[in-house]
Amino acid sequence: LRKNVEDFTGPRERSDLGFVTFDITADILNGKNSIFDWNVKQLFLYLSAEYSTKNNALNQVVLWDKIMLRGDNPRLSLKDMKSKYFFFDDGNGLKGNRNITLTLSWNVVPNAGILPLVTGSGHVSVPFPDTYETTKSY
Amino acid sequence: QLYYQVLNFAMIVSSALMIWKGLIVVTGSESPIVVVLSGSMEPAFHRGDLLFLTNFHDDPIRAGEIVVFKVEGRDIPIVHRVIKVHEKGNGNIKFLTKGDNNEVDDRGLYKEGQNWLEKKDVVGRARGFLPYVGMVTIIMNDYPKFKVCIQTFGILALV
Repeated sequence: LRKNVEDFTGPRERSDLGFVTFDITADILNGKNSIFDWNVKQLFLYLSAEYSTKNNALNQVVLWDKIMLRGDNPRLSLKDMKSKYFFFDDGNGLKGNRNITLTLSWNVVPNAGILPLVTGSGHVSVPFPDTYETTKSY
Repeated sequence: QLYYQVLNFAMIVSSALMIWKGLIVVTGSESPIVVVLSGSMEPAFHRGDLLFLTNFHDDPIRAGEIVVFKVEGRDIPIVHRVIKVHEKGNGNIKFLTKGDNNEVDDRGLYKEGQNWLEKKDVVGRARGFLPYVGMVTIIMNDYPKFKVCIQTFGILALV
């Protein structure tokens, strides 16, 4: 499971807004078998950024998500993806933040039964620069 | 004879009530079983699906979880996913939700001027689900005459 990212920040009103582009290569398995067994209807995948700031001890922001239905290919090979949702911080905690962790997780939705949340193994740490960018070429 | 029937009926009703109250205590949620009312979480959940919730106080709210919440002042429970979480060191948490099938987040659904949800707005976290079973509730809501039919039928069956 590999993710590569580049990023820069830009100020919006009073909260930091981060821009991240990423690649995802993943193989979603349940042990040796495909995770799509008879009771799995779909997977809801999401890429979340987790980090700490002065304002908040824990922040989690979902940057991107995807629904993978039973029958879809369980291998993901996405390149140069932009985040689907705005990566706003609650304050100015992105600037100079060296320790932002991106993790891929998924919600297994069964045909009937328990709804587990699974976190993929492998995560990537993304440092944000100390300065703001004024030109937004996103 | 009639006396026994009435007693029997009362026993069944109070057992059902006890089981329901017991479930409320065990799960920590005021409403441990809810019916999905809209299509905003499709294709995972459809109208009429039944959700089982827990609401343990120490369970942290994390991105990706499916929560059932009520907007202040409204009675309708909404089932959506948490997409942003900001938690302070003292445990104070604020979060944003969005339906999987919706284009935008739920800010439009919250109260006027409210931008975030808090722990107190949460009815519970979805832990398990059964498809279609809740359809009866939806039909009863949409067709009140049907509700009366079901109720009289239920009473007749018990007695």
